[in-house]
Amino acid sequence: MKTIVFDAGPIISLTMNNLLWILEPLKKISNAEFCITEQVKHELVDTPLNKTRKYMFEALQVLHYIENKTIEVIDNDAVRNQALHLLSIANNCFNAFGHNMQILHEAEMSAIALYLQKKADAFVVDEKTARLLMESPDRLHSIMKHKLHTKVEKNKENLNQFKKITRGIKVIRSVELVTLAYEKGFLDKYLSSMPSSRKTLLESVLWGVKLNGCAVSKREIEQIVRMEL
Amino acid sequence: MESAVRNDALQIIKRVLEILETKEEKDTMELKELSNNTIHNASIFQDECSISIAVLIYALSKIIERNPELDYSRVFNFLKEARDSLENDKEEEFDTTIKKLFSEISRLDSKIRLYVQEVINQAQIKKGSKLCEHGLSCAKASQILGISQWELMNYIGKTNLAENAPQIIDAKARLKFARSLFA
Repeated sequence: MKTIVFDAGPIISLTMNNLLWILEPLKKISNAEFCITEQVKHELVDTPLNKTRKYMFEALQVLHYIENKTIEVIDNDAVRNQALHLLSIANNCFNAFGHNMQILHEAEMSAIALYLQKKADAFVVDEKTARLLMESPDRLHSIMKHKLHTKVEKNKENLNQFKKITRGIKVIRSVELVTLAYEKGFLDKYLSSMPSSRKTLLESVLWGVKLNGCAVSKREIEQIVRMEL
Repeated sequence: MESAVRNDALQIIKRVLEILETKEEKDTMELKELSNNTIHNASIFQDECSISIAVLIYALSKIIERNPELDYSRVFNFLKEARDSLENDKEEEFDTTIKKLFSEISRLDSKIRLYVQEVINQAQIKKGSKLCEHGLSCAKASQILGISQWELMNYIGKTNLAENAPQIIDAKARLKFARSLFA
């Protein structure tokens, strides 16, 4: 059985577009388990329900898919410990004014820790920082230097250690999930009688996840649309 | 409090006082710029002082923008108190004054209290998106500002943050891999 680990971002992007339901048919065709950690669940469900009044209904929708076992919540000491270890490395990779920049959150690191524990097949993450730190830390460093208008030093030892631990992690985003849902025909019920309805449908879901936080550029969306049609 | 943070905070509060001393049309723009400068420190030090000041100044700019006729004299006085506390290195006093400032902003007009709370919330989200722009993750920025990731992601999606993100792996390759998972 395959294992796909989710960060909070893609679940948020899908829920905000009323597309969380696509996880059920995607899970069925892939025979995969969809997992989140307790820390990610906390961000998705507990914070909106217990701390803020905003996005409570969205949180309930996520809870529904947790309770019907589409999404499995995994919590164990090994994941928690590994998450803290990863967090201490990741948050000591860049330094400005003699201060280590705390760029990542425990929830993201717990998802990576779970991926490593389960030897998972994919990590679904929408936001760019965690992805860049794994795929191209130098680019992340450039962004930080440029945006902060200050000297940001790299801790090469920690960067190499993080790279070594996370090497081989395969990342996808919600934008790939909605494209697959489109390809598999799960969204066909939304096809209309208007001209170019397939293109409109695809663009609508791609732009939908982008506008709700998936780090995908306009150029990439255009590229996906060209590939699909 | 880090001395760099304290010095910057002091300079910023002094500048806010200068701006508010004479009402001008450019005040709100200047306050927003100041707020953006403060968020640089917030990205690096992630201290309550830089974050509170950034949110406070941004919220103040929005309130002044929409309610130019309101009386801000109490805000002005609290800002002076905050300046004096920083100058005398009285951190606790400073924290209390900042809290009073937030309450005062919320109380500016009881009729617009809900609106003011909304402005403060929007300011937190706006500042959270700035932290993400500086390289912090969405979850981390939400934690620092005390907002939920739902709010921040919804806002970030409407900015051009993703447009400037480098494309390390081609969309075609990522999609090909995704297809292999759901074959």
